[in-house]
Amino acid sequence: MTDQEKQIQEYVEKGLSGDMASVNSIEDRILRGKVKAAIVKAKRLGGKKESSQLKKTDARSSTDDIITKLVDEGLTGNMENINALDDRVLRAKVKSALIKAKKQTVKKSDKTNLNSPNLDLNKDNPNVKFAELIQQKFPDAIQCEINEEYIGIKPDYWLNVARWLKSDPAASFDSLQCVTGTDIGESKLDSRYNLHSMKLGHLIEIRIEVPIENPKIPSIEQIWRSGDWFERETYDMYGIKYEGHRDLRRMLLPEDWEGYPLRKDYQEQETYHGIIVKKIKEEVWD
Amino acid sequence: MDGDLMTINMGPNHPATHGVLRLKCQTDGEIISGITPVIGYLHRCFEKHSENVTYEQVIPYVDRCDYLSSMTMDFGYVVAVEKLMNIEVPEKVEYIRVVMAELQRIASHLLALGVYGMDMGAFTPMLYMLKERERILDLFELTCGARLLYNYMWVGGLSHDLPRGFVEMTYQFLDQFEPKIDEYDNVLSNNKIFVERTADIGVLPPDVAVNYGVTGPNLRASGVKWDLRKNEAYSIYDRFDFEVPIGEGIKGTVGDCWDRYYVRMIEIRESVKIVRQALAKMPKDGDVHKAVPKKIRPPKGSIYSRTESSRGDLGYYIISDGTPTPSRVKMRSPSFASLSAISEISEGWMMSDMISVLGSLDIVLGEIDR
Amino acid sequence: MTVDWLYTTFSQLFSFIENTDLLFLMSAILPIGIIVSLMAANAIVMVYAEMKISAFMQDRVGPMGQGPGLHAGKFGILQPIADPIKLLLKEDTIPEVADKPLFILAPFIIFLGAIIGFLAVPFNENVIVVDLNIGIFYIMAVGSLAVIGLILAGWSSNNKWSLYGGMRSAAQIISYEIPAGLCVIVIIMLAGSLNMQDIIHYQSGGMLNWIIFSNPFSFVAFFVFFICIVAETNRGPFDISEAESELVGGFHTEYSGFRWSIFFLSEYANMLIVAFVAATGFLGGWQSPFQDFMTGPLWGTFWMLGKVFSLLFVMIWFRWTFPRLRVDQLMYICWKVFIPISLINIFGVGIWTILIG
Repeated sequence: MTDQEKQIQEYVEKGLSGDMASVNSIEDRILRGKVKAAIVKAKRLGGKKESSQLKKTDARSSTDDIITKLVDEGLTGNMENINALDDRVLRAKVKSALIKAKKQTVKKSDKTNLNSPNLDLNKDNPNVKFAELIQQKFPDAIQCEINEEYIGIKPDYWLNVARWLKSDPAASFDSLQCVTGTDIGESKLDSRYNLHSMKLGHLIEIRIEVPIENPKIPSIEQIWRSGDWFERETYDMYGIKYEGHRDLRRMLLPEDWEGYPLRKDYQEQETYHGIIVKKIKEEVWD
Repeated sequence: MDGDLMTINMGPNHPATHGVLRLKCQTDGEIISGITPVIGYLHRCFEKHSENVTYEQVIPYVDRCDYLSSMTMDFGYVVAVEKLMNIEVPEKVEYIRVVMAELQRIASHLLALGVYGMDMGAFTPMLYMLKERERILDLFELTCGARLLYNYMWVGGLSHDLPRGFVEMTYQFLDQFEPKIDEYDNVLSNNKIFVERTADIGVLPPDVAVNYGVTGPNLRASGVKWDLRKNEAYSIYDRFDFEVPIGEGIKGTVGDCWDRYYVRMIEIRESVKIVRQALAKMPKDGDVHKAVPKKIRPPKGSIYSRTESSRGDLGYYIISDGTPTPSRVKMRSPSFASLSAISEISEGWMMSDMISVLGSLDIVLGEIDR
Repeated sequence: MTVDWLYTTFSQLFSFIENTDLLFLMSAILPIGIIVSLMAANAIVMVYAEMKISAFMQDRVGPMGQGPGLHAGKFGILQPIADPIKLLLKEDTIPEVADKPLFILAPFIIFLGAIIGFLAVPFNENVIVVDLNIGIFYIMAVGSLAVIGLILAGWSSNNKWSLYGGMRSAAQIISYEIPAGLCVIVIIMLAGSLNMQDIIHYQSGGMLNWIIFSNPFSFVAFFVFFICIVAETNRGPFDISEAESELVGGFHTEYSGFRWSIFFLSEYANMLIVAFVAATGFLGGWQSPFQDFMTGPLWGTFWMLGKVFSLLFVMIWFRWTFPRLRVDQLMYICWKVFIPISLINIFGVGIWTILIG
């Protein structure tokens, strides 16, 4: 700590204890400015600590407990206690939490449905056709059951499959239309590619699933140049690391942004360059 | 003479960047030797917003992405949701949507061409074109009360039926507008200086264009006949008779700035044709709210749906989890792909040519940054 | 009405003043005052003309107002008064990183170049501030002073766009001096004098005696000269040094308020001077186009200003019609088209005078 910082600290302490006269009497204008700024900051932080934070933690923990309890009840079918709540805000919160919880259970069952074998497949569907072709060419590459909606591919095989998809005359997917990242829950991220062939006019969808802790997918930026920006955008929003991308930087957000906003568990950062990020009030509609 | 390159920041505040785009240019005197586009200044994360609102509430957000072509943006979105929900839209609604989308395309192209002229230093043609655009905006205002951001197309229908006299007024507009296109050709397209500035500049070869995902008029100017209205006719576009113009290199090479400019000019003529046909065939009666669902709750699943906006293939990737709010809405914006090709085609040209290339790509930053 | 004439008049009028220096100062300051007010008046007229002409060309109405209220007067005639007031009231900002002395100096150098050019401009038979025997040469010479100002403005702003603008305009003006100068040689060859009044007297006796119509080569020379002077004044379609859509504002990007308005004023003043030179050199100056019809000092002023403002109208017309050229195209036209044509013109005029007369 330099002398100046020490000085500032001294003055700040004086100022906080109510002795603003000594602060105002500082002759060095820059120093005075710094001290005042520090006092304002300290007051803001200190004020929060005293008033809101302490109280809130108390209140929060109690309401949180109630909500979790009621949600558990609601899931088993007992809605009486919830409807009997006097506090409307609390009631709404409980209901929304209940819907969320239900959604998650729905998702789980949905997943199992998708994985069940689908026998009446349309052979003309490009997704089915190319999934079969890929399976012949790269036996282990397909990650999921063959279906009409998409082709699931294991990340390790993706680069080779992509090269083949572009160069093979029967496929000749010369245009990468879109790369969509998505958070599919159960701590998994999805990267979805819509490929299109200008020559042959067919459209397929590739999905690659990666775990959220270590999302790594080989980059196809050098195969389809449009992948360059699309992958950067997906990296920006979901943090999927495209290995081999020559310029994997954030695209739309600033370089020093924390977190990946489109993940479902995203928490916005507390401060950004010293500016306190305002929390948006969670309003629930009844 | 050997010297260092000068880095010059074009934007975020610059008259020719059509919004808040920043181009980090490495320049050697007047010659550009490298461009790094920096985007995100208009980023609002509309995709995150969409995850917290209902399907119908997404439409205003979509409007604001490409604020110069809101109708076509709406169109793409509602078509995607309708596909997801399997909604059959009444005939009349389809016709009105096509009329609106094509009028919007004319308006958007007029602005693009006019502003391109201004980028080249020709101020007057811009005002000629803006004047006609105003008339189209008047028609829109008559229809839905808004001049720029309409929120007009709803899932399964429209917010309002056409007002009384709309059809006649549109005919009137088209009658007085068509001769003006020749006027534009005289004042700008065939102007010697303008041709010198744009022909043979910033040539985008077809394979590069496809590789970069460039679509719409920019791709067609490179000689690729690709128009979703023809090749993958959505809505009722298969019922109309129109041409898909491609760049022919009349003044220079195929895929140069002049071609990109001129393809838009011809597209305006084609859009006029479509509007005329649609107005003639449009059913008189019908409720535009008939197919609007009470609750928009698409079944679980995902869809990638593309339509032809004024700027190219506008794709929506929508994932539904069965609730009234979408689980994910991703917009594949055509300008995003177009802009990514700029460093490829304008390196090695002069500063002024770079402006020319940028203007000819007709980007809208609201849609790039979303 | 030269300075000498003023001096003698003053010494007769104010015979009680014995200090000759004071008399001389008075007779020198008066024309300068007149010129400065002329420049300001010209700028006001030109601003209004430009606004209205461009408006009519663009299907607009331009500045309008419904009466003598505070809003721009009838037909917006108060608009050119309101604009300078706005400019004068604006905050005068100087960038922190700018080279302050040069930044302040630059507009005044440009202004100086414009103002001293007027000294040798004949308004009619009698009215000329200094009837220099090298008048046309003098105007061409001081006209180039603006380049220094433009480079200074571009450099001292410490802004890369301004630097581009300054460099472009320097290259442009210096290049276009050459064909313009070569065209002036055609005038000098025919008139046999550098004196502005002599050149005008040479063209007396109706329209057909004007230098523009004296032979085919001088006819071409007029158009080359006119295009060159448009380029020299940095007007569209040659406004690459300002190039709003490329260089933001070029050399005057960082200027605001009064300093910026001086650039503006000088641009219009420069246009006026070069139009005067073109009218004098090719269009018979204050001579009536119909021999002895409508002649005399007042009519002379009328003809002179009429010719000058017709040329200015064409300049405005150019600006609102054409797109902007690129730097290399501009240079190409200058060095590979205009200079050869001008050289041929000189040669041709020489041969023509010897053979045909």
